[in-house]
Formats: sequence, structure tokens, C-alpha cells
Amino acid sequence: MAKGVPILGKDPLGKAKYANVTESGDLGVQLSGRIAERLYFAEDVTVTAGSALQLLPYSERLEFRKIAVGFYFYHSVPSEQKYRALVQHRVASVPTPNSEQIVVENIQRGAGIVELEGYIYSVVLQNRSTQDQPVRAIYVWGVR
Amino acid sequence: MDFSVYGDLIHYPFAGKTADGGWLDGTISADWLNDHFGQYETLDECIQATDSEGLKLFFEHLKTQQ
Repeated sequence: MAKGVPILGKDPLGKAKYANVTESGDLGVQLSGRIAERLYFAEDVTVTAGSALQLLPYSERLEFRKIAVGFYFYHSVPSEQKYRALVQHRVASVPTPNSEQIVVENIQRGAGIVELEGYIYSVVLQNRSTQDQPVRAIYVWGVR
Repeated sequence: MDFSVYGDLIHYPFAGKTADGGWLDGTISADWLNDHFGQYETLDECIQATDSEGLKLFFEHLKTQQ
């Protein structure tokens, strides 16, 4: 006598796949590969001089192992202007971050990715220059 | 001016601006403000010293807290 109930489904490529529901009703599914989710996207934003623009507010996000951030300028920016994307970690409700991870820094365009050091964090884009800076696009991805 | 009196990390309601003119939230560090505007005596002098629209609004915002 069968120990479970087979279920016919399809994999992401459309190929038929069987899964099995056990006697106790559990269905096990094995996931593989990288699964990313876009968490933030903005176009045509001016980042004010001196600011750390909040892209993701502080929250507990248990589902992601890595965070990727990219930002793209309209024009090349002077080398003395400093920009960086940070993941800021904190403990409980303490307002000041207790650690920071630099995701990407001082480049004209591109993206960076970091392995998260904790689960309560925010993501910011810092403009450390004294000039406001128009940014063509900013995005944040979470990677499971 | 010593911006540390407002805390290490200060709420910055003018951290960014969208294409339709809306302001975005963020923070600004007292160290950065002291480095670039610490030599001025008043917030009005700070306003005069910057071209940044967001910073001008921020200094005006701080004046209401004095």
C-alpha cells in the first residue's frame, strides 16, 4: 500500500515533476538556485547634500541572506563627491546603528552586494558631498 | 555652531526629492554638519553658505527647534 499521495506538477521550465505528500500530510519541496526580490526602486531622485537617504526603513527581515544595492547617475560626478550605499544594523529600538556594511562606494554606476550580518537593518544611500546630486535610478534587492 | 546638540544622527526630512517635488526621509550626521558648517555662528549663516535646497530647508527647520 502506498505511503503517500503523489502530486504531478511542473518545474520552472515546464517539465513534469512529481512530489509526494506523506501519510501525515507533509509536502516536501526542495528549492534550488538564487531567489531575489526587488525591495526598492526609484527613478529621478535628487539626493540632498550630506544626507543618508532612507531606501528601506529599519525592519526585521529574516528571509534574506544578502542585500544588493545599485545607483546610477545621469552624468559623471566629480571624484571629490562621495557616495555610498550602506546596510545599517541596530539592536532592538536603539536609534543609532551599531554597525554598518558598505555595499557599494564611490563609483559612477554599478552595484554591490553584501552578506548580511544581522536581521534588523535599514538600507541608505549616502551623499557625503556638499552638492545635491540627481540620481537616475536606485534599486535594492534582497537575496534569499 | 555645534550640531552635536541635536544628537549624533539627526532626522533629515529633506534627504531626497522626487521628480514631482516630494521630499524623502533620511538622516544626517552631526559630524558631517560640524565638518562643513561648524565654522558658522548662526543657522542663517549656514543657509547663506549652501546652494543645497534640502540643506537650506533643514537649517530653517532647525531654527524652529531653537
